Amino acid sequence: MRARKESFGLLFYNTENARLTFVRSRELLLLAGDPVHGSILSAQARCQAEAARARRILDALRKKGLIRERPCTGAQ
Amino acid sequence: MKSTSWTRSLLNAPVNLTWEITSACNLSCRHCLSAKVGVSGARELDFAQCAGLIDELDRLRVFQINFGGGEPFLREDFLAILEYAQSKGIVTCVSTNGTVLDRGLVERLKRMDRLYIQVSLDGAGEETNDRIRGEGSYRRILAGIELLASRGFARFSLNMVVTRLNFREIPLLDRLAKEFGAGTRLSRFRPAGGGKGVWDQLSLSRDQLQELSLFLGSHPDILTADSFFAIAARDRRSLGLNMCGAARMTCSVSPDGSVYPCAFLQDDIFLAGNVTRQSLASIWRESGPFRMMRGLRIQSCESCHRFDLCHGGCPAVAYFLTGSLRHPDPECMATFRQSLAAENPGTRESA
Repeated sequence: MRARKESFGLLFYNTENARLTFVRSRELLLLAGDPVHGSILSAQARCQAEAARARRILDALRKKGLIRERPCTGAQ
Repeated sequence: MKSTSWTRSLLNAPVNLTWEITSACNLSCRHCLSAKVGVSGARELDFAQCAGLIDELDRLRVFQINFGGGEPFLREDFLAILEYAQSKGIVTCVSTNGTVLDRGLVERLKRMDRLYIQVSLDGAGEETNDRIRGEGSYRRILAGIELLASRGFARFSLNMVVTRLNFREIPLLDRLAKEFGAGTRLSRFRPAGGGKGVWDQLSLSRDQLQELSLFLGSHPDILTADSFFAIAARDRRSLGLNMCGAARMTCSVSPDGSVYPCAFLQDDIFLAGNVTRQSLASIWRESGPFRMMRGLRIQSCESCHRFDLCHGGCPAVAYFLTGSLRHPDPECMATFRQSLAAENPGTRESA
């Protein structure tokens, strides 16, 4: 899966079947920074309210199969 | 892709790009899109220019490049170009006639993760294919297909441009593809390039278009990557595009770097710029032909019950057959049904 920012939100591209998914969320843009190379979750540190909102959006994306959680392997 | 407000808004960049990497070819297919198009004698982009364009596509996050030609593998540095695009994580699709594949080449292709190959075959049998793609081509193409299959290249499909000569062989082609573990892909024959001169001989009849529409409706596994949406049955509405993506989702680059909204719209009036002189990003955002395509509305179609399926169909077919981009796709199913109803007042148009 690849993704990029667009004016309406995020555009996801499935590299297996070329299917596109338009995710309309300007909120996610503000939080995500760079969705491909950046760290989405680091935005949670901004404040709790934003983190909760980000979590809801990320959960929705995860349920759609557009993103997946990566186990934390490094030292905290 | 559904018809929603954001698909009508300007994307930051194309989703995919069709790139005719060379005009050289070892076949002379009767319907060839790339015959008689482009600037005569124009120099092809060299490797450095190709790499520069790939760098820009990477920066713009263009997801996919569809390489075609000519025959891409005739270009000596094509593998290097392909590998460079792969190194950027860009999905690559190569349309080839399969005749120049050999064992060493297939082994290198196998190592590319995000590579898909379409082998053009215009008939399930030798006689039909060779009438379109030239005498002796079937056996050479099939040898390439057998090589891909026997060497374990998994991501390939057989692609047929549907004409009245091969229309009856679609199920046989599908069976042949399955025997090789390949997919089946159908392309629409359009009156562009060399297709202009043979349109009357090769285009489908109304009855054949209706039959094809029904066939596609009952065969969702058969891929139709381009503008079959004009004849798409409702059964396929969830599959692929439902509107023309030219200048909205995609664009086309010719061997010399000229940029057009679509590979099927390569007349001078659609020339949007050249990547040797401008960035693709600026052409995408600012060029007149691209703005014109984005503003295109086929108003006479907007009240049609099939509008959400096709949005007026393929502007290229309309342009080359009627002289107007704003004309409904002349091969539109709804138009046919209305015409048929007018010719036969006793019949009713069905949805």
